[in-house]
Amino acid sequence: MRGPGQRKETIRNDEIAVHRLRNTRWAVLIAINALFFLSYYLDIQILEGTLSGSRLLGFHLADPYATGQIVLATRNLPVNLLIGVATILGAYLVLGGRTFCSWVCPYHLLAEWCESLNKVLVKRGIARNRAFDYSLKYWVWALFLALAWATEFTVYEMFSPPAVITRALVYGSSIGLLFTALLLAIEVFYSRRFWCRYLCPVGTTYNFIGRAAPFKIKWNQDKCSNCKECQQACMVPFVLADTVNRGKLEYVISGECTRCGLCVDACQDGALNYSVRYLDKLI
Amino acid sequence: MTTPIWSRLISRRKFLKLSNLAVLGVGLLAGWSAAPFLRPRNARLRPPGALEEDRFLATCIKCGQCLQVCPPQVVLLSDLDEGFGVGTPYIVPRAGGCILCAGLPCVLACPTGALEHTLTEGKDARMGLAVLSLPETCLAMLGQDCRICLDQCPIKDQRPIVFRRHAPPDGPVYHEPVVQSTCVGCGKCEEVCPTKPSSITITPRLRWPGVAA
Repeated sequence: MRGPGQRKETIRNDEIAVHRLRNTRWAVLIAINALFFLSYYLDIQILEGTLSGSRLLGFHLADPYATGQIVLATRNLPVNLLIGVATILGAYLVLGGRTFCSWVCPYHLLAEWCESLNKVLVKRGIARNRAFDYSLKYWVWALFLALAWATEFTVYEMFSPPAVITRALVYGSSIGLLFTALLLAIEVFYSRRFWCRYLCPVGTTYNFIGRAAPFKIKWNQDKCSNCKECQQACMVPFVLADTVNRGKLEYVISGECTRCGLCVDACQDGALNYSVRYLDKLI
Repeated sequence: MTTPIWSRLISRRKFLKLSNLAVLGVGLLAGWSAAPFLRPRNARLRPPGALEEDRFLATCIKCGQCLQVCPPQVVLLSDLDEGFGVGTPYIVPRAGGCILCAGLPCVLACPTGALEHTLTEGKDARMGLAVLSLPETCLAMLGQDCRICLDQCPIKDQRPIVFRRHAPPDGPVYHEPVVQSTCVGCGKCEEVCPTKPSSITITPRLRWPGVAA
């Protein structure tokens, strides 16, 4: 089936597998998490704390969802927390929201590996890949905020995977990792990327932020030859539909897009790339 | 094959969607009702400036920054066996008491004010109170010249422990350590007490009547 791309010929070469952006991204993710670990382990004090709250060279950073819960649970917003959350909101409004997921969150990296494992196991008939409703996470997002208000306690922060994983990484192992292990087992055997796709409220918060962020994936219709390799590679394939399938949009505008760059790596036509919306028109 | 009666009432897609939400709802209700039982049973000694316990648990973002900046490294992070307190900081005085160091870096590092920023001096903290829990093993009570609990106290100028002299007619002279209202419960005395187990211990959150939080 031909899509809305304009180029007629397809010059696919399956010998070429480009992983440039993926490798860069993994390096960045591992470096950030290593910085959390080393800041305490070697006492170099560059990035102290965990992914729920930290200080970069003494400057406060705070996870927006954790902050939301604290504000609702305590009906109070302390100054340090305000500074921390404003910095993070500002940064991800530029960087693109769920950029956090694919470039920073340690759970995401584990989930990526589990996804590859699931693909192999599904082929061999050992595992399944059940799909759920993508809108489930908006309910989870709202419900844990409601729960924070009702119980006056930040319930979700007890088991939030990115927080628990960085906490275990920095301060030693934790029983809280059992929940993360359970989630990963579900992702390997039952439903691919179960947590990130359908449930994670932290990612959902960044999803909202990402809609307004100008840093997006741009699709060049003239270069596209409709091979759909990008959607094979994409972790949330439907985000590309309005561009490569329907040709309605030039940018991938969905909040679900994690700016992971897998589609950019996969595209042999050079039709997909990172771009800054509005700004690239000016230059 | 005949159509089952329920499929005329609700489509399969809608049923699955609703069942997902139902599972979610049951899970959340279960979590909510279990919450009171998940609260830590024993009060922990919290770092200086900690809010009242329920509020502290709600406000703490569990980032461990207080632990990272602690000079004597006595702050620990609780694990899931602490229930609600998972990831929150505490001090085990016997393993290492708080030294109420200048500037209170733990309070300054706290991003959420779970350790209250209004606290600027160690002597104003209200972590708990020292209690002479085993007077029968206390060396001073046995007539020896032991003053280690007071000597090692980080705020000994405030005289948080006073040794009261007793001279019973039928026995040797001894001194009784009496905890005063200036004690903040830092736990140093429990750490350094030479008897095993420690004769003086900290009761977290305990306050003198009339002393404000």
